[in-house]
Amino acid sequence: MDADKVVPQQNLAKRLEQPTTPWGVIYPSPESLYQAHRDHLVRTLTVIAGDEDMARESVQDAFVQLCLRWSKVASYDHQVAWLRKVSLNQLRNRRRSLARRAAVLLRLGGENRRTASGPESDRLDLAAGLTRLPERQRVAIVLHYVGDLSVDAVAQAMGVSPGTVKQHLHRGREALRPHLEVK
Amino acid sequence: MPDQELRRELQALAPRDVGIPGEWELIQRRTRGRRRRERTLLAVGVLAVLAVVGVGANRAYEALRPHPVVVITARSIAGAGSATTTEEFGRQSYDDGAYMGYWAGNVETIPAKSRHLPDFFYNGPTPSAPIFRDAQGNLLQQDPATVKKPLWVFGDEVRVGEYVDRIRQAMKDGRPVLFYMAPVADAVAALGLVQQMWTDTSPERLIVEWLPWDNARDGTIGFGSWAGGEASPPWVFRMLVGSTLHPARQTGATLTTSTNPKPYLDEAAVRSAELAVQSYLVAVRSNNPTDFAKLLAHAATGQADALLHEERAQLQAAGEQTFLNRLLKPLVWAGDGYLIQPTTELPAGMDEWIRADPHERTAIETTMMDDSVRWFWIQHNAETGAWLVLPTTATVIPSASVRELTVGAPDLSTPPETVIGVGWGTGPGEVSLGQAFGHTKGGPDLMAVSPDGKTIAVYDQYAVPRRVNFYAGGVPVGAVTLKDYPDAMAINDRREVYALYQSRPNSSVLHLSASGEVLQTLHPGGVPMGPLVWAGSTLFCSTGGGTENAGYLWVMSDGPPVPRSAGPNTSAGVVREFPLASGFAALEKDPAGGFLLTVTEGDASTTTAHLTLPPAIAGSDRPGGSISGSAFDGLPVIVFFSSFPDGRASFDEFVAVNISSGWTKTATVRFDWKVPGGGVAIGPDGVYVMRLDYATGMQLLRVPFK
Repeated sequence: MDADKVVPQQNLAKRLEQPTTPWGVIYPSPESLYQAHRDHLVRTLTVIAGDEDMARESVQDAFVQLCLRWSKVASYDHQVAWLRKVSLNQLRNRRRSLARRAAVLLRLGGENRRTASGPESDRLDLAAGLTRLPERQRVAIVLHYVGDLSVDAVAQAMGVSPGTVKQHLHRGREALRPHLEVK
Repeated sequence: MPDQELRRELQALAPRDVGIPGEWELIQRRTRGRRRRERTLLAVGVLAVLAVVGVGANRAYEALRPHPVVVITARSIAGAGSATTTEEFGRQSYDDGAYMGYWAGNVETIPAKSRHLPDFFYNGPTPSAPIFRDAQGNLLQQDPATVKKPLWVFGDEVRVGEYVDRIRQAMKDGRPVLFYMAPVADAVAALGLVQQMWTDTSPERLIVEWLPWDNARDGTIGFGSWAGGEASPPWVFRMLVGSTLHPARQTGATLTTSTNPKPYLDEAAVRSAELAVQSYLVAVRSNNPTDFAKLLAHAATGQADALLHEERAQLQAAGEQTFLNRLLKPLVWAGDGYLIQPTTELPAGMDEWIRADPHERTAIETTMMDDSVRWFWIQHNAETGAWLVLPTTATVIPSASVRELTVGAPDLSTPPETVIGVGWGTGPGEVSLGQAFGHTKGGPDLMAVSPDGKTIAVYDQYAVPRRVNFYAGGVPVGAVTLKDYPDAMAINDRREVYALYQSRPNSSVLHLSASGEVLQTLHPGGVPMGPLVWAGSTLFCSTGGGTENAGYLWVMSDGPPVPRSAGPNTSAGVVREFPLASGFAALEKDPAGGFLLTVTEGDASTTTAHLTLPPAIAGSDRPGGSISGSAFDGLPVIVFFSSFPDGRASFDEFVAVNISSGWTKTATVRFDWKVPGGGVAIGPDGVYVMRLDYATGMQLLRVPFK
């Protein structure tokens, strides 16, 4: 199973002479995982969430979980996949919490709009189209195109079958096509 | 290619610079915080589960646990009288809970069959309802279900050294180990202990105890012994059972146990602290300034030379005995009290000092070979792990305002005077010789002298019916029947008898006329009563049965109890109080040696004297281990008896201190022969001792005050 085909990871593994498995690199410490994957995870989750702060906090929470459970995770063959999945779960929890808070604010007549650093103006249409995608389609699209993950790796991260991922990717691409044509 | 274009456009949505300086450190801090919270939650959860499980388990255990169990009962064996036949003893023993059937066959012995154990130990059957009391009738607090199978070693039947492996395995398993008729050195060697106690009691009277609980927890051992020649199998068995269940008595330590375990210093730390004290004393004796300085806490290292000089000066002045320790007792704070209660009062500030940092501080109460007591303040050095001494003022010296009364050496030059001599029999004035099953053969052991010294009363416990014989001028002058054996007895100048029944559920004093008519029965309203003591011409009976609980005194001849507003001196060192005609006297053990006697007139303390005892008495394991007192001419007469290691008095050697001569003169007396049984009483003119001779009868001897 070729889960991660990220070239930088393999380069890093080679540079550090870290042991590898058929599924990826085995990292000797949480810090080495942090150095290798933190920025990439934050960027990916930022596109999914449309909110860099939320993405950064989610990834940070995931690394705290990694440190707490390192005695177990250290022996995993899929260390990066585990980290990615935990990050996505953290992001989903934050979004749900935010949604509940927004609902309360709307009922109270308030406004729920985060204005953290978003995409540049010429990409607003694509970003708007992305946010209008169903969540699972959006996650599949971003993991595949921004995260550079294979279909199998996306399926593993989302906990669904590769066929479902292909379906999400197809429908997501169809939904985003008009935004690309507008641009 | 749309896919490539979509990829490029989507990747352009991702921010480029997402790094945060110091985020990894932040993650680590958050991890540590989460870990602490998780552990706290886990601990709380575990405690909650344990609490629930514990309650359930306890209930299940209560419901299911098999015999044996300790049955608490208010029944008392006092007043039943001594048994005169084997059958009577057996019935009383079973009724009173002294039957030791639980232990029959439930003990590992070396050798496998000992001639010192009764037949029923090996033949059974074991009764199904054991109730446990000691030889004095006190209920035993140790649940037998918690006692692991004891190992009894009979030192006169085997060579102890050949069974070291079995003995040490028993120790390792937490089982009590007892040696009967084994020299202390053999027992200690077999146990592999470093012991601080010694005894000169012959092995024939000795049980060496190693008990893995109570105050023997850190490997100290205790001794049990008995006087007399009685060593029948039932008696030996009874002594072994009592010793198995009791903590060592000679240490004087009482252990405060708690059902809730508290964090406190472990044994290794306490042993290290004790070793620091021993090393300190050795360094002083050997005049080793290098070792001495190493043992001092940082705060005192600059004074090492001066401190050693001071200690050496004291060593030369007071002698080697003051720097040889006999007993070390650690003071360990267990969260809600001290693990072992100190014998003497704590020095000022020590309690607060220890409690401020109980994991790093302790104190060692050190009893020296001359019976002086020194307190060592011990501080743990966290850097080196060593336990160090904080030097303080050495021995507590009595205040200069205290009168010094040095009691001379026992004097053999004054022969005792025989005031009464009667034979065995049932005639007028004669007394009965008997032997209760399991007890030494004996005669009367209770006597009283009237305040004017003219009448002596002797309780003949083996007569049928039991009676009180009166003697005056050396001849019998009558007798009255007194069926129940009293705990104490007194008579007044009119030969009226006061008999105290202290250990009954409702203690009382029976007041009989000279003709045996019951004049009155006095009950203190449910309050236990203490011994009867004459003060001048008035009989007192203190409540509480001891010094600490004596809230007021009972004036028997004048009616209602008289409250004492000042209250007793309840400090830890008080050993005895005596009522006086217009006050009371408190006798307190001085940490520096000897005793402090405070005489209080009315309710105001007036006079204090420091009594230094002669070596023959002071050198015993418990100086003044048995003390009697009374009062004549307004001031007390105190008799100190030397004692066996188990605290029982020996009448053959004692000193009587008569304070009645204006605080300036003291007298000493001593017998030079053994008294096999019998009683002792203090009269206005001397100490009366009962001497029993199996061949001839009973003699009453008077040793006059000088």
